[in-house]
Amino acid sequence: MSRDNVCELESHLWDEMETLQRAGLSPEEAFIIAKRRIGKVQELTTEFEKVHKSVFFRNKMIPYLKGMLVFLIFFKSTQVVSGIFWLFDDTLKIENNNIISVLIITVLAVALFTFFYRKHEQQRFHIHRWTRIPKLILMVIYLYAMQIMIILTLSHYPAEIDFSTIKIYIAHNEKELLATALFLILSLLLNYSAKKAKRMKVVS
Amino acid sequence: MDKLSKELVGASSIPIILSVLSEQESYGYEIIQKVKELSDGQITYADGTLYPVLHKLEKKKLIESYWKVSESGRKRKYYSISDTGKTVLDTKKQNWILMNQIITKL
Repeated sequence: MSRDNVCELESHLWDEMETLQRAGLSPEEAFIIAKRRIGKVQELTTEFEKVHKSVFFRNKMIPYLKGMLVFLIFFKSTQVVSGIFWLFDDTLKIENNNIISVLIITVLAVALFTFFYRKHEQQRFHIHRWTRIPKLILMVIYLYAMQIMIILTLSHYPAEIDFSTIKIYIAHNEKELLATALFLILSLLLNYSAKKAKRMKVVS
Repeated sequence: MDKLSKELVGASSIPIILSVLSEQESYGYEIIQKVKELSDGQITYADGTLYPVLHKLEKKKLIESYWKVSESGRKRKYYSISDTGKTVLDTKKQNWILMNQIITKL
């Protein structure tokens, strides 16, 4: 339900409680009766869904969207970490770099998983805070920027900036970049529409 | 008198709500109480289910809504009838008068 719907039902609950309290009921009794009268969550949701189909569709879409963004971040992170190892390889001339990079990516993934799991165990893991759409979008953009920086560095930046490398990168990943850009725009639009629905204009 | 059928209550809900709002602006809880009072307890809308009906009327632009701070200091969502709503209400009233005439003539 939108914020507007929830506030309206809350206001109804308060009105009902006030009437019941005037009739002599205690606040606790009034709350129990008012809550029962307003109806069960499932029934209310079904009724509201009939009228606000687009809102319900959007709300169902958002978790999937967040999941896809998180997956994209994970996918890009592995590419960026691999890129960092290519940099080491390029400068330090380390051999067997592939094995080292796979090992470090695994350690990083386990460390991240442990970090979130411990937070979850301590009940300090607020998934909504970690998966806010603007935050996730910024993270994706940041990872793409990092990947481009790595490519520039690999092409001996800053001694000689070779922008043709970027052109080649774009030409090779044209479809992926276009799909990601469209996906990010869609996420932003959905987030904007969800935020807009939360705003309430109050006249005095 | 027997309790009014669910179908009749459902069919009459839109003209009744529009009539209440044509008198003055109101909010969900007040509309339920007013209809209950006017019908001597014969029509009692289920608390949570009136709001989707109001939202449907708002989508059809028959009514308008706005949040207002009441005298008690609490926010309430008020509804008022629009010009389109007034026209629709007139048509609906004519229809119900016609129905009433048919039944009473027989």
